[in-house]
Amino acid sequence: MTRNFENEPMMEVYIFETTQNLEQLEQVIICSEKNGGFTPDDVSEIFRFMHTIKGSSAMMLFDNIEKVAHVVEDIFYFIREQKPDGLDFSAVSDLVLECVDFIKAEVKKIADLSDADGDPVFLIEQLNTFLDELRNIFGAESNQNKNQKKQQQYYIPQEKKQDLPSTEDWLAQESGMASEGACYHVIVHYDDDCKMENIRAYTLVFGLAEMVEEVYYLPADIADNPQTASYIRENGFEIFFKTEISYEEIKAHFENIIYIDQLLFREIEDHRLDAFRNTPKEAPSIDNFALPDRDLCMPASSPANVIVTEDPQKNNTTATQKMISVNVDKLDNLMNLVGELMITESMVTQCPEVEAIQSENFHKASIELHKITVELQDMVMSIRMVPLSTTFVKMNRIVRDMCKKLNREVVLDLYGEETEVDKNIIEHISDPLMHIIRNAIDHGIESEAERLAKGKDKAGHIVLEAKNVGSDVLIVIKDDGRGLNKERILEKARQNDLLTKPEAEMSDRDIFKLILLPGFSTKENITEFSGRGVGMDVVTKNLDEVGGTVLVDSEVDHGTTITLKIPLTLAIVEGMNIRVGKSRYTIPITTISESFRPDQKDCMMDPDNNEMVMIRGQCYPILRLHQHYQIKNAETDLTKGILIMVEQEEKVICVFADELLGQQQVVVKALPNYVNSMKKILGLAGCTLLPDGSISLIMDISGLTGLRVQ
Amino acid sequence: MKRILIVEDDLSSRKFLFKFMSRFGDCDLVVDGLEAIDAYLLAGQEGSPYDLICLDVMMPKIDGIQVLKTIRDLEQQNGITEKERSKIIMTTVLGETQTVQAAFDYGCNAYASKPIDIAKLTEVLGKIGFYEEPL
Repeated sequence: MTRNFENEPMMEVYIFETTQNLEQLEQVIICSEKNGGFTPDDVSEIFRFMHTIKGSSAMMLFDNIEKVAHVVEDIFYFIREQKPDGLDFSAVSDLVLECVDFIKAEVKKIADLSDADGDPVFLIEQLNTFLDELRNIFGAESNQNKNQKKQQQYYIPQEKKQDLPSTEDWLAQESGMASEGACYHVIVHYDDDCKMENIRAYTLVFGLAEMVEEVYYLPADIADNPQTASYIRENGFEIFFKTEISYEEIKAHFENIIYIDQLLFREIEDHRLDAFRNTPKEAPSIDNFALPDRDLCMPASSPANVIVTEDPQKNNTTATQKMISVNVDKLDNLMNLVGELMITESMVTQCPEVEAIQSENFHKASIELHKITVELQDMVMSIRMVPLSTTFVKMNRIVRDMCKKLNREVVLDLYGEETEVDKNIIEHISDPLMHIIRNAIDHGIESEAERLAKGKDKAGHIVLEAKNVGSDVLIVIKDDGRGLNKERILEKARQNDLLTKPEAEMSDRDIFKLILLPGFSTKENITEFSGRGVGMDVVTKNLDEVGGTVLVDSEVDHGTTITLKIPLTLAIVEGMNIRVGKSRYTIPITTISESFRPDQKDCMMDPDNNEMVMIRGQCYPILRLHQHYQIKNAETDLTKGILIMVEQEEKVICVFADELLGQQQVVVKALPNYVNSMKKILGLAGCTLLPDGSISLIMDISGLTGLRVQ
Repeated sequence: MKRILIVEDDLSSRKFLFKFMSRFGDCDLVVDGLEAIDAYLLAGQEGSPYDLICLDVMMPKIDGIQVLKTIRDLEQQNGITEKERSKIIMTTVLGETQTVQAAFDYGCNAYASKPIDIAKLTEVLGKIGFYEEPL
């Protein structure tokens, strides 16, 4: 079955809400476990979450999810009602978390447009056994409240006011009039917020038509004209009718109608109906109660009222929404548009003809324009910023699960989780963080006995910290475990043939970095959590995608620190524009250490015929861009062009270009698909438009440094 | 024989629903909200109210949500118990959450997004207790 979510916001809402509920639920359970038990608040909160999930899943026809949620709800209902002492909290938590995982997996399937077909029977059996055990030990709960709850499963019942309005006061004084063919005039006022007064009036007349001989009403066009609803709200609905039925019966009929606020009931003379009778009727059907007199149609009310009164329902719905969730694609588009706007803005204001304009007003306006575009850009960026807290908090669960399985005690401390990063980046770092933390617990933190022998705290500590440093975000994962063993890493690397350069040349950091390579694991035994050598390479892979870097530091017996350095945003880069021949390139300013024009004597060739330049006694490789990208008519004399020394991941290279054009903020655009599909070009991160309308290619420095080394 | 009311202004949808629903019972067809209310009231007077009402939302004169509300109000007014009430399924292309929420708030039994998934609709008909034995 195919589902198109664009046409099914309900599905989107379901996935969104359920995911959120599950996450919150998980947090509540982990928190309460930390505190050593469920507080009554926790229990009812968990109950509520499960109830919501159950209800919405039933509504969306995901039976398996509903069933699981239902049993969990039962368990928590039991706990809430019976308040059992000495309950095995960790067993409950385990069970519930298992269910949460199951539901998460199912929701994932739904989100991926496949059917939620996971079989919950095993889980449900397990839960039911557990519940039965509880009942055996603590006695069965009363089912009274619960059955009531069950009624809500398939749909949300109406919320209605039950109080029927008292009509007694408004009844006319005459009583017991069983006159033949008596005429009545009734004015009905509906409850203020009952809505659709015209349709209510219509159904009222429909019912009345059976009991009376003649009936006329004001306003007449209630069925066809929704505007009459507000008229009735203001002025009431007037009915004139003649009937043989006794006053009591008629009265009872009206009293029975709901939503009536006021009822004005009086007997009138027969001739009062003549006004209506005289008008010709096209067809005497019940649909056609025509109203003869225009004056009667609109008595004493300004028609303005009709227009002014708005549907109160509309106001309600808009007032309650202060937060909205937005499709990320739309934000991406917005970001793109703002990028285009910025480029266009600089194209306009920096155009030479425009600069020649002597009007002071024009320059004021263009400064204002610039200010607003920059503000707009900041605003769009801030919309895309999401705090890291959700990602960080997820780690609690991983730590908990691993501690249980490995029988270790580890405390996870979170700092700076309010740090905000771009939404795209969040998606990319969640997996790496998970793998790093798993590794830290599995490999880093020693067993309890070992720790005590080393004079460390019984419980291991992992610190997860985020902070802003310049235009980067640093995420530091620090454990106080045994640290990395250089010898073993090297040995393993030799075995797996992962060494890329002579061991003697490798710095400590180079060695530690080997652990991030795919297929690398020093652990002999493969466990559920680590040892397969898959995982840590995800760290480098994902960080590469967002332009981040990984640093590994370690000290034997003191622990390991892994630092992820991530740019705050991918969309806008402070860059240095350079020219090579007629081509323009942009180098991210953060990677540039210096630029200089070398002396002939400093330039040399190494034995492999690679060009090098000597600066302050150090040799650096030179990369000639015109050679690399085969650009004609470019400067080839090193002493006449300019060398730009760039550094990324501690690799340094000197890029040779014709000249520097100047520093500028550029909006990064991905290379168009037709370029990417032709061939993979190394050393380019994207492209941008310069104010003069020309295209500049943005250099990917880490790609470049790699190029020259190879 | 169960009585079914199909409220639908679009001819092809109406025919489709009629063909599908005919195996469950006797189908009446109306084309707008006003007719729906008329039909509902008439059936009430005849003493054989509809067991199931399929309601479109976007219709001329009175829209499906209003019809839904009217019917539910009338049922409440006439003291019809929750169990005896007509089952109402909204059938519409409108998928906005506000519309769906409104329909649920007003007490429809199910909300089917068009194009209608027959398998699911059948399943739901069973769930809301419209028929007991699978056909």
